[in-house]
Amino acid sequence: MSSNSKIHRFREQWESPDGRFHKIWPVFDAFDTFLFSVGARTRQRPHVRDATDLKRVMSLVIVSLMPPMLFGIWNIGHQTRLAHGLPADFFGSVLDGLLVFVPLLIISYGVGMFWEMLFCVLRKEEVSEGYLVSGMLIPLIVPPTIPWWQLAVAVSFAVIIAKEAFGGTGYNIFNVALMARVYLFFAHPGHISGDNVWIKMQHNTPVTDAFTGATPLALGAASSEMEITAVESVTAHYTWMQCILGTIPGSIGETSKVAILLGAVLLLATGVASWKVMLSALAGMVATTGLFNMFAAAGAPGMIAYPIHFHLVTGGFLFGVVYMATDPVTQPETQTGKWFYGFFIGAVTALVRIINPAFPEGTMLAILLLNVFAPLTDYIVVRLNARARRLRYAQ
Amino acid sequence: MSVHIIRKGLDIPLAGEARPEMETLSPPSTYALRTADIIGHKFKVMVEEGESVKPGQPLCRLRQFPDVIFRTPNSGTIRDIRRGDRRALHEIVIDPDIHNQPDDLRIADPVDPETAEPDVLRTHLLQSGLWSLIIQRPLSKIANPEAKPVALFINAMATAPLAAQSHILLKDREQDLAVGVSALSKLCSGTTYCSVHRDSPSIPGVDTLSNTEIHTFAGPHPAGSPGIQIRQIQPLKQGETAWYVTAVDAAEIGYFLRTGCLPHMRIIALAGPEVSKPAYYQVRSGAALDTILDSRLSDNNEIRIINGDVLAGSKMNRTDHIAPAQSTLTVVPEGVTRDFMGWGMPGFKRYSALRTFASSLLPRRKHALDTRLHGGFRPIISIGQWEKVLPIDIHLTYLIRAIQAGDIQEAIELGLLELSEEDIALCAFIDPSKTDVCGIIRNGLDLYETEYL
Repeated sequence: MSSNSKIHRFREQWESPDGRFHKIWPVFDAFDTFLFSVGARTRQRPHVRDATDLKRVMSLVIVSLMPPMLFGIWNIGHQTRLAHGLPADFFGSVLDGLLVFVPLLIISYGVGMFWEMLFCVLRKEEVSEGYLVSGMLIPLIVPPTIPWWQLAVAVSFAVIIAKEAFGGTGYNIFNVALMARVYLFFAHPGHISGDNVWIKMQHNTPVTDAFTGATPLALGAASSEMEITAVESVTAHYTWMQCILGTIPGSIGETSKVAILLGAVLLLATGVASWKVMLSALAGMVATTGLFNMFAAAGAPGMIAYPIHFHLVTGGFLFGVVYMATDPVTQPETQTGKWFYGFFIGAVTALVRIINPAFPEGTMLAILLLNVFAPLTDYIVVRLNARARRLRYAQ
Repeated sequence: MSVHIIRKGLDIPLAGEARPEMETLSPPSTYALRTADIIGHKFKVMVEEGESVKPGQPLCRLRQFPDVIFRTPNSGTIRDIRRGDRRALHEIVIDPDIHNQPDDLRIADPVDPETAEPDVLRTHLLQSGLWSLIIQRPLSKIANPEAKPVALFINAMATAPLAAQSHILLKDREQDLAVGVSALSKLCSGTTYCSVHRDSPSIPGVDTLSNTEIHTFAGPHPAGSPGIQIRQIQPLKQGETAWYVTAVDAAEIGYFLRTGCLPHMRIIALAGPEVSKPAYYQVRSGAALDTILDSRLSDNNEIRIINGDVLAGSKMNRTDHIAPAQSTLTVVPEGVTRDFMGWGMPGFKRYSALRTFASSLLPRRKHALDTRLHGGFRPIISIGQWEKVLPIDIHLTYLIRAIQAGDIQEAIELGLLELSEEDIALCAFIDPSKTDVCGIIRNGLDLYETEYL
């Protein structure tokens, strides 16, 4: 028997309706089309198609996530070493980082893909590529100390409640990765906020005197009680340059602004992410913080006088805007809607940071809030379009 | 004269453009009246297999509009009545007894459109069997003879990939074009418009058309698509219909009115990556494809033959015949290979309009696109692909949702009636979710027709 007909018989067992494994063919199809591009042909017009499919789009997002991921892996180990005053050894840092990050990545993909495939088998649909990106994002937006079981529960929550309950990839209202994070944020706040979660500490090793586990934004937010400006509070521990390079504590993927900008360049060059959303989010951030800065007295304590060049390099704003605000499923469809959506993500982030003393960071909440408004903005834009057409028809 | 500049769109760099050379081919072994590509009509066949037919004898008529008849392209014996799914009429194939000359196909006396009454012209055109060349908007189907169109759009430009260029098709046909356009505009109450492309060579006879507004379009496909042009020139209001005729079909009508003879030759642009000699060929109307394809194809056996362009054309078999309204014949390879991890490779040879493959670094390269779908069907996920190629203010995602939900009132408000397959084919081409946009739009138009007309 030739190997070709063996392969054919193997394929038959999954694909033909009376094959032995036909019930779970979406699983086979997912691996099959992962290895070899789809062989299906067009049946009718248009007879030729663009080579881009969702797999390609999602792969590009994954590639664009590589710089923050690689930097994050190194930074996990680096922060541990700094905290304990150990020598900064590059390979040691990377190794420590891998030991922290790889299990998180495996849990995220393993649990997420399990649910994803289960739902596809039940629905008899092809497995969609959406979770490839979500599964990569989730470990990048949690602290390195997150307990594994919490991550697994958060991923399950995000995939089942935020995505599959709405119909799967393409139908969800909220960004899936952020839903995992927001679940942790409200269900297990002790493990995702405060000053003790951002650095993986080693037991039985003393910390240095200058050590703080706080993120720059937390320091900034705490400044109002200490009667110093937010910038002074931040720069007592970190320089602006450290913040932009990313050698600071924080969620794994969001610390290095340089790495994120590298990813953003790829996303914009390939046209996968909307430049309108990114630009308008920056504009919203600049406008809102500018407004508050104008009304703040010189040297005022607290976030009200926190300047824009610090806002942009501290916290997860840049990461959120580049990778999550631009999620094609949860942003508005219409181009006008995108401007509105982006602008208010920037504005609401700034508002939470400046006005709400309980939350130092507002990016996640801002994006989720605007996810809620995305269908409404689309609705308004589409109704206006329909109204214009009705007037034109009736003249 | 006004210029419309279309900025959104895409000229797909498909290899195998027809060279501007013309060759006249010898008569074919069989002829046929091809109806397979006519959308949304059923036919009543008026002949039987084995029957012999005289030059220009009627072969079939539309069930919906019985006045619209189709005449034989040649005399001979009916060899075969080919049908497709659900017995839809595809072709009526004829074994020729002789190869008719133009005079053999004289079925009427010449008519001068300047002096003839509109009703006489209408009857005359219906009798000619050429009425099917007139397309009505909305719906994009053969025009209803009873309808009163408010505008006539003559299209003397083609922007679809590898489509036959009007200045070649219309060479030396100034008189035919003038007579055809003037007859059609007499049947139509409103203005007559003629669209030309700014960057194409000028088309003989267009500038001298009487009572016709010339509109110049510039920019990529779909600038030459009727829906886009109508929207730019004179958007239709509720309940209005317009007529749309390509300039070469208007010239065919003019030829008939001028001489009383049915047109017996047709110029076809043979193009596409699988064609070894892409050029223009003059063939008999309704000729078998073999005449034109023989020895002009590459060695590949897995090919797709398309009546029209790769975007909006329809599939043909090797044994089929040239259709009455056909000007382009495209041949592309069928897709057979499956690339190993194609989603992860740089992709210098994979064409995408979305800059997602390395091929976008080589924008001048022509691609031999094949018929692979390049992906699985997914829910609509918008990464701005449709905004790139749809130059009119239609929110396509919402239009598609309205059609799929069966909400035709909403679909009309979102612009369904401004579109047809050819206007929207680029959106289907570019979509990473591989949505069947053309099919959905046609479903919407069908629903509109059954519910509202």
